[in-house]
Amino acid sequence: MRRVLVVIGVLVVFTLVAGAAQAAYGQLFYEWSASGIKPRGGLWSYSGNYLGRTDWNPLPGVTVLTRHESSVYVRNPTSDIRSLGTVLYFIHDGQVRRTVPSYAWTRTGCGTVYPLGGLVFGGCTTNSQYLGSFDSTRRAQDRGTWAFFLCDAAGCYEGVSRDRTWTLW
Amino acid sequence: MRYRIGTIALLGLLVLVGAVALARSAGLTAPFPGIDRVESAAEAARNGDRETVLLVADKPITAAELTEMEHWVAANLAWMGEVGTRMAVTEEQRAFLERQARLIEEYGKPTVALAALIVDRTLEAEAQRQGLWPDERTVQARVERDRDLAATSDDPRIEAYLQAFGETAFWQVNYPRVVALEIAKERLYQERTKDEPDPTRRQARWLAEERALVLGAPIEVVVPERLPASIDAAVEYLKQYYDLQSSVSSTG
Repeated sequence: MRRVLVVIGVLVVFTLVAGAAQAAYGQLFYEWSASGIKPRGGLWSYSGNYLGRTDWNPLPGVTVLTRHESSVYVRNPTSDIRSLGTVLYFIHDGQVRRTVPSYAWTRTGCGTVYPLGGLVFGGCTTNSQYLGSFDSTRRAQDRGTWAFFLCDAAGCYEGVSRDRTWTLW
Repeated sequence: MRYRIGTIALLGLLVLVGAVALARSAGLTAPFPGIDRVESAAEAARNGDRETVLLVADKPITAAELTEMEHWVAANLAWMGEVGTRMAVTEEQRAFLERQARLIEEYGKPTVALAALIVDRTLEAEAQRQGLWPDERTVQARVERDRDLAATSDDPRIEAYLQAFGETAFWQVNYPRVVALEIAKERLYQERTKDEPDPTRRQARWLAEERALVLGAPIEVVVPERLPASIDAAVEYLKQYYDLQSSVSSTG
């Protein structure tokens, strides 16, 4: 009888922990776009989506962050993303934590399949530097700014998307 | 007493929220560097002299286009000069922008404007030679898409340019010509680099292709006294420009 109670107790604890761990992640999806004018009056445009996932492990009295992953997929129908200077900023809790220049973006980052149409690049923030910047014991906000500067023989010109904010957890 | 403290606190909060909103709004509408030159560019494009000054790959460049491009170069330079005060660049990017700004200042705006138009005409001629120039239907579809896009854009330069040019004239007369060249350049880029999947190598290849085309284009001066800068200086600037772009592109 005692052995059965122990087994049941272990199962109850396991179920509670598993349930809590399963709930301990947040996912965010957000769409954005930016556009501007080029020399000679042509327009450039970018649009894309942000997908963020944060996992943490709630222990008594403390929440330990175990993973933060953000990926951004950019459509650029005007094909000017090849120009130098396209960069994605991840801002956490008011500070720029990571900038991802276009040449460092990965097409296969975070394992996401990119959609058809236009040029698509992905950026991914999963790294220890980014994870280490979190205070894992409190809630905070993540912000993303997409800033572009595009260059040709007539010089460089800029475009910055509006700052957007989303709560991580 | 408690009611009065609550009212004061509420009023204080409202003042604070208002101040923050005002500051944000002021930030969004702050004067954009070089915006006056964008307006001047639009005026030159609309009212400038259509006399052909030179031919590049048999394509004409007019006096108005040279003036317009010079204003665009000035507008770009104004932004590049102020970029150090803005957050939205990395240290490496700031260093690159400073190098490109120095290069433009070294050769002068008229030379750079001439060089930029030599690039345009060369790519236009090559796209037409390869049958990549868009048909009217494609151009019209892009005009409609971009017209919707412009209506929602935050970029103050779009509004400045449209107001100075005149909206109707811009969308019906000017933009179809502008966007046809944009589409042709995109197609040429795709055509010349489509078999290279790596974005860095793809960009390096495009720069090499563009450089070879541009520096090999035949140039004929029609009205020498209206040329704002020497052809030799423009070609020399382009060599330096491609060297700079390639050095950054290849190092990633």
